[in-house]
Amino acid sequence: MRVLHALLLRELKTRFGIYRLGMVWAFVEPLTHVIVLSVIFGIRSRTAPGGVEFPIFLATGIIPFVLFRATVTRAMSTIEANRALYTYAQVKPFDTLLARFILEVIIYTVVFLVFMVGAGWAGFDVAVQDPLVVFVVFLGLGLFGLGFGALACVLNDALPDVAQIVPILLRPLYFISGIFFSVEVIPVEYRGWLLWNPVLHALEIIRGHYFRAIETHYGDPLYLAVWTFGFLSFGLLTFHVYRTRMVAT
Amino acid sequence: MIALDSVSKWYPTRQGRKYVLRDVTVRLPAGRHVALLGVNGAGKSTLLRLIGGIDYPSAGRISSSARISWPVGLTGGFQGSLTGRDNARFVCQINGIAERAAIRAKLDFVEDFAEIGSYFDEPVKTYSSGMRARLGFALSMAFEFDYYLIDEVLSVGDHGFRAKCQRELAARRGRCTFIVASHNLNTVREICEIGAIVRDGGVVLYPDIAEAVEAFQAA
Repeated sequence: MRVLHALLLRELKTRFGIYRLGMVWAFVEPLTHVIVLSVIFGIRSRTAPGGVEFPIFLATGIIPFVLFRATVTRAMSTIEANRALYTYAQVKPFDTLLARFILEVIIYTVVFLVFMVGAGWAGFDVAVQDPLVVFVVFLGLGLFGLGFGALACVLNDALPDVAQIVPILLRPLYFISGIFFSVEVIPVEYRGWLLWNPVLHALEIIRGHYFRAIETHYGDPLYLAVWTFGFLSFGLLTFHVYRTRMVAT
Repeated sequence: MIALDSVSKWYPTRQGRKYVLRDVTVRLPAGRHVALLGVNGAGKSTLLRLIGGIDYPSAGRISSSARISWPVGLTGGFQGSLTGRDNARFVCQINGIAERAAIRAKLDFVEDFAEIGSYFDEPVKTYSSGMRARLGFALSMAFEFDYYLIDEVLSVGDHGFRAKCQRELAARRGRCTFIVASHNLNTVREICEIGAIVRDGGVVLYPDIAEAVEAFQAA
């Protein structure tokens, strides 16, 4: 526990840098996406499904997606980045993995809250229907990323050339996960294909429970849960089995 | 006591397993300072890392209930973007020092011992290798361990600092056990009481350092 605490403080310091600019970047990224996409789709002239204001609709997609991507990439590089720390026998690979995950969840929860408060203050309707479900799915998406990232971390250690595929896979995921659309607007014949993507399910569920005006007929909690628990257990197990091999020099 | 039971360490290479240690069973008694003797690449440092729990054996078991240090003078355990103070604080925290006052006392000790002045509050990446070594040694000395793992440490820093390190180690000689990996036979003879020769993947323990040095030189 004390190791985890020490690691969290340390990650916080290194992640945010001496001038604490890291925290600013954590906000800037989702914010620029929201602004740019809002401009592209026409500020407030076009509303998202259910009459929801587009920037808020975007934010409920982008911030959870960025959390997912961050947990994947941070988990993936955990061994690489913390190699120096394994010099101290108290620091176990799993501690560093967990510290990174917890920090990302905290960061993007704060980003989400601050964004919504800010947008509400700026005059947008940010009323949330069911915050608990939104948070649980948000967290679930993070856990999915953790499992996926743990697996990617092992791959990165064993076959670094092959592991390059992970960030490449994450890029198109941005466009097919429903960040700027909901499944309803997709032609029926393509919906089945898109719905293989568990991240799309997560975003559908989050929006269905965030906005009173949006009902999701596609977001399937069970489907998301199966992916999450599947990847989480397989990822952490693989990480556990390979932990000594990854740390050993 | 530190017990190694059938410990092997190998690295996979294209030509199959490359053994550094093969089926090593040895007991290192508490209170007897040990020298690990071996030529470069014999596996002294690997053995130290295994004992310190930093690296893991490919097969076999290492067991001990004693508190074992990380290799003294180690400079790889720092995060370059953090200051010396932050790095030292981290080491305090993972070693179970939680109270503010206790941490401050340790930090004061490290700052004082390392003698790197205001650099203590600069990022470690700006340090020279000598300054890193000073910080590493000071950190090791800030904690009480049952076993100190020493990997060629006596060759770090300038003359004055080296003398100070030796004084500090000598002061602890009575209450803890040193495991020294070195090929400097003179320092080893001064510090250690028993010797272990690491050669061809095996470890042979000699109950007397003079005997060990002799056997090492004979080979």
